[in-house]
Amino acid sequence: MTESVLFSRRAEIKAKDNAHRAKLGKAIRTYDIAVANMKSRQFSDWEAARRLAAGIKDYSIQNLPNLLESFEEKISARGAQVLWAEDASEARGFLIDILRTESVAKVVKSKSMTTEEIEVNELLENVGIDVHESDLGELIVQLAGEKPYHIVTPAMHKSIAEISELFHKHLGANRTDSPEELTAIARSHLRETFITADAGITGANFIVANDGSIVVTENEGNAILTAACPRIHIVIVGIEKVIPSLADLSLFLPLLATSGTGQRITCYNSIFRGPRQVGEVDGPEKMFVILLDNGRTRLFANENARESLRCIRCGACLNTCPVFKTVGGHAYNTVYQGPIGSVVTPHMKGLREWGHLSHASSLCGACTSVCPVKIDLHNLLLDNRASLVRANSSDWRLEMAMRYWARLMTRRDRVDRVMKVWKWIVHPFLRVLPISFTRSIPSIASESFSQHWRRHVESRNNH
Amino acid sequence: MSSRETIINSLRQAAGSKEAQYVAAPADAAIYSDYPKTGDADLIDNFSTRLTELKGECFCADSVSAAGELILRLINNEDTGRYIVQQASIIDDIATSHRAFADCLSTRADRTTPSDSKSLATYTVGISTAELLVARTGSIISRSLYNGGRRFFAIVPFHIVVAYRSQIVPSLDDVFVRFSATEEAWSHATIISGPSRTSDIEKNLVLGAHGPKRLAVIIVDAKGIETASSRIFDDLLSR
Repeated sequence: MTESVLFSRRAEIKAKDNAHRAKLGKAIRTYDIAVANMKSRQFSDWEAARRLAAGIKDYSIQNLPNLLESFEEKISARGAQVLWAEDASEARGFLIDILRTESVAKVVKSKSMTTEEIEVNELLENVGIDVHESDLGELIVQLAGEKPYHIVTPAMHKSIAEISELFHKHLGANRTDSPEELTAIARSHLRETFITADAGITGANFIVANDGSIVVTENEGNAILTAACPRIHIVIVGIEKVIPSLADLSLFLPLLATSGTGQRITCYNSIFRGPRQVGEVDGPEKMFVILLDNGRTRLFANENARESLRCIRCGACLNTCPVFKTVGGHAYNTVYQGPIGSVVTPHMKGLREWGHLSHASSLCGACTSVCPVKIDLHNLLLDNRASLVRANSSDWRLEMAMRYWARLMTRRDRVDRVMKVWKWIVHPFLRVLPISFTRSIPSIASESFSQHWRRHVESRNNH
Repeated sequence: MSSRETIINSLRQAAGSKEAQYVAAPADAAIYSDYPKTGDADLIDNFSTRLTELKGECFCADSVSAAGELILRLINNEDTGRYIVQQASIIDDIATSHRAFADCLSTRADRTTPSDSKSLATYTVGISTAELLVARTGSIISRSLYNGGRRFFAIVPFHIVVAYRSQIVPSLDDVFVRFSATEEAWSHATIISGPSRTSDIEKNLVLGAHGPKRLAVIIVDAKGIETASSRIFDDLLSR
């Protein structure tokens, strides 16, 4: 079965699932209030801030090679090792090599979408290395044997009761309906893990070119512990995450926090610039940074789609998207869900299999209007649709249908004739088709718009 | 050809001759409507309001000796565990001027961060200074070079920070200027804004996800400055 068919099936199930709709609705309403509040409380001019951020990211993307080289030079000087991976399998190879050379038996991870791209958990489980997610939401989906539901809120779809059941089953905890108690269970379970893990894997929200820094933004403190307790720190980060200078963070950290969760700034924003240095009391013995391409140079090569590399993964486009809000995050079956996922996945993983996601949009433009780095999301979806049509140009049926469609639609009298056929022959059929069981079919007006126009407007003008 | 060359070359090739202009973001004062006013008292007030919103606690102390008294009262209600206290001049100043605090340090505190995370995790209270405090965001700047390492502040259940009022800066801009001007090699810094938290369970805010459940900041030498937090301080001392 193709991904396209599977998407439709999963979407249909979720669209009719009222419990799912209620959980998602609650989470997104809370988010909407917090975001609207923080935008107006914090920024003198949100639009201007978006333009600035988009400009800085544009510059960074356009100058990726230079900025990445600068980053590499600076962080290497402090003893970190930088590895470049063209695709997921090369990154997986690097990771296994490091873990084997350093005799690592236990790994703790903080939240990172790039590790989802290269499927670190499956990889490590297969070679017998213990791997533990440490972000609370990620821990919940790992225990449930699921993939993250949302790039920022991975367990958005889980209720308190479901989480309690998971903790009872997998961690041997007593059942509870208190979020505080559930958090405390996760805390004590993971405390032990941080202390005993040999290596910590984190992602990065930004990489800073001018001084060779990795920036990780979070609320729980698990990313710091992941990068601080084990003797090895491994960072896996997409090459597009680079910004020119440390000073740019005073715009990007509040921007990301506002769009991501409606916070002024997240609780912990950490800068990691290498393993333990002379004069420091702690820190890992070794640090590795894996720079991941995995389709990003292909996105870069497409002049229209290139701007999607500006994305700072805040999740705002997901939370505002009427399609996401109806079908949920798992329907997409992609690492990146919602509008941004539908834009980048066909470029990263293939148009043939993933092009259908371009249609998982009403083109309403809500995503574009909230994006903090002004990615023209809905027009890029339209672009992907055009590519899809071009890729299928060998399909004579589609060619033929479109040619007739064009002939019809370019002449008024032909449209009128078709509408008559529709009104008297097709429309009555609709009323007995299965669609009429779930929707009421409106009746067609007695006169067409053009007839109405002629009768009222033109006759009035003639007076 | 290595993957590094392949990636760099394909980016260079596709980039073509298209030029993009780097326009750095303007100063925070121009971007943020909540940028603090310039007076010293305004900075303290701003910091304390923000930190309190973030569920942290903020106190002002007239002198180092008052800070010592305040710390003892803050940890008095905690259990009788051991404390980890950073080596910093402000903490030595407090110990010199407050006998009971000095006694507490010598009987119940360790002054060197243990090398293993397991022992570090046994402390019930951690006391440190901050490199800077940021008024606009209510943030505490902790850098590996100066603040007892990168694990300390994320492990202790109760973190007390003491800093002089001169360490407050208006905004994050000031932090990054200072970072960029540092010559020694440093490997870590964290901008801490409130106690550790999560909203991953049905969007309910819970404190103490992994790091501190409780975070208190004491601003020393803030004599004569009336803020909401200094009133809390008076209240605490009169108890």
